[in-house]
Amino acid sequence: MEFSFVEELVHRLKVFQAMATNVVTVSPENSLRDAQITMREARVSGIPVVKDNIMVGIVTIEDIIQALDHGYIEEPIDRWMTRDVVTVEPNWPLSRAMSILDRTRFGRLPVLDEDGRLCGVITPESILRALLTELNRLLARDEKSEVTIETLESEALRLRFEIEAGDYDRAGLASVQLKRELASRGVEPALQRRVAIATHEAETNLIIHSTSGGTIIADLEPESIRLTVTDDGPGIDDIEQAMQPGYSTASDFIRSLGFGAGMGLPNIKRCADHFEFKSKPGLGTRLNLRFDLKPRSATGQVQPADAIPSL
Amino acid sequence: MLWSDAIKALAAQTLVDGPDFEVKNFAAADLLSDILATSKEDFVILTGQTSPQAIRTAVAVGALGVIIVRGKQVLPESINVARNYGIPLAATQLKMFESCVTLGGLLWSSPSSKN
Ligand SMILES: Nc1ncnc2c1ncn2[C@@H]1O[C@H](COP(=O)(O)OP(=O)(O)O)[C@@H](O)[C@H]1O
Ligand SMILES: [Mg+2]
Repeated sequence: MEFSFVEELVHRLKVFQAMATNVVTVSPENSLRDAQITMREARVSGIPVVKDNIMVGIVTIEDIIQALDHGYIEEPIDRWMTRDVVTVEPNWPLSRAMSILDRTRFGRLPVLDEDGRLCGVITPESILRALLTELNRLLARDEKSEVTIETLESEALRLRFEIEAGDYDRAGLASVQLKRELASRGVEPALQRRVAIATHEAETNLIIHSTSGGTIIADLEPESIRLTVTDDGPGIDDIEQAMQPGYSTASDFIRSLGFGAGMGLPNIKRCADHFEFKSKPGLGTRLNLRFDLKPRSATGQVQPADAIPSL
Repeated sequence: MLWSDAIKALAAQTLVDGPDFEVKNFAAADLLSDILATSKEDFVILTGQTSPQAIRTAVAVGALGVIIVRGKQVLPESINVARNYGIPLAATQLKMFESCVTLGGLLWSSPSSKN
C-alpha cells in the first residue's frame, strides 16, 4: 500500500486526538423543538441523545426539518430519533473514522469508550482542526531535544537527555545527537556506532515502555564513556525474560512503527563493554553501561552477536 | 559498487545528494530494530520506512546512505534530518524484493567487492 503524507498522518493520529470533546447532548424526554433550539445555540447539525450517561440515539437537522414539515416538532425526541447510530472508538486510527464518514455521508460520528460512554464526536471540522494542529506541531518542531551539557568536577563532560514517554516522533534523537558529539571529540567511528546503537535502544525503551519518561546521562570520561539510563516506572517483573531476544510487550501499534522486535536489551548488551541492568516493579528501571575508549578487539568493530539474528 | 551505480540501477530519485562513495554492502529491513542489529560495514540501508526515525536509525548505525523502496512518499521532515546529518537519501519505485535482486546482481558481479 502506498501512503501520501496526509494518509500517513491520518493513520498515525487516533480518533481521540481529533474528536470534539465538548459535546452538547439532549435527553430522550425532551421535545424535538428543544433539540432544535439546542442545536441552533450550539451551532451543530446533529446531537447525541443521552440517558443515564448512555447514548441511546441521535437527532439531526434532517429530523428537525421532517418534524417541522409534518408537524410533530413538539413530540418527544424518543419517538423520532435514530437509534441505530454508527459510532467509533477512541483508539481507532483517524483514517478509519474518516472512511466511515466518507462511506456513510453522515456529518458526525459519536465516539464511545470501552464502557459505551460518549466521550466525543468526530466531525469534518474536528478532523480539519486536528490536522492543522498536527501540521503546525510538525513544522514548528526542529531537531533539538532537551539536551543539556555540563562539565563535571572530574573533568568529565556530561550530556543529559530527557526522554518523554510516548514521544515516538523523536525516537533516535538522543542517539544521533550523542553520536555527533562523540564524533566532534574524535571518538573512533566504531565506538561511536556502538554507543549510538545502545543509546537508540535505551531511548526507545523509555519512549515505549516507561510510564513517565526517563533520563539518559552520558559521561565522557578520559578512559571510557558511561551511560546511565533511568526511569521511575513501571519496572520489570522478570529481567531474565526481558533480556531474551525476541521477547517484547510492545503493542501492535508500536510494531507498526518499526519498533518492538524484542531485540533492544540484547543489542545494548552486545554493544557495551560493561552492562548492568536493574529493575523493580513499581519503582523503575536502571541501566548502567560502560564503553572503553580502547578498542576491545583488533578492529574495534561492532561484533556480531550470537543471540541476535543479524542482517 | 558506487552509490551512483545503485541509484541508477534502481532508477531512484535522489532526495539528498552528496559526494559519491563506494558501497560494499546493503542492509534491507523495515524494522528499525533489525537495522540497529546489523554489524555490516560500509553499507547502505534499503527500507520501506519513510519516517525521520528511520533516518536517525541509519545515522546511529553509521549507514552510508538510505534508499527508500516501494515508491513511498518521503516526509519532508525525513529529508531534513538526512540533510542535517549529511546522509544521502534516495527513493525508488521498485519494491523491496526487486530492489534487492537488482542490487545483488550488481554487487556480486562487481570486481571492487569480492569480500
Ligand atoms: N524501561 C523499561 N521499563 C519497563 N519495561 C521495560 C523497559 N525496558 C524494557 N522493558 C521490557 O523489556 C522488554 C524487552 O525490551 P527490548 O529488548 O528493548 O525489546 P522491545 O523494546 O522491542 O520490546 C520490553 O518489551 C518491556 O516489556
Ligand atoms: Mg526496546
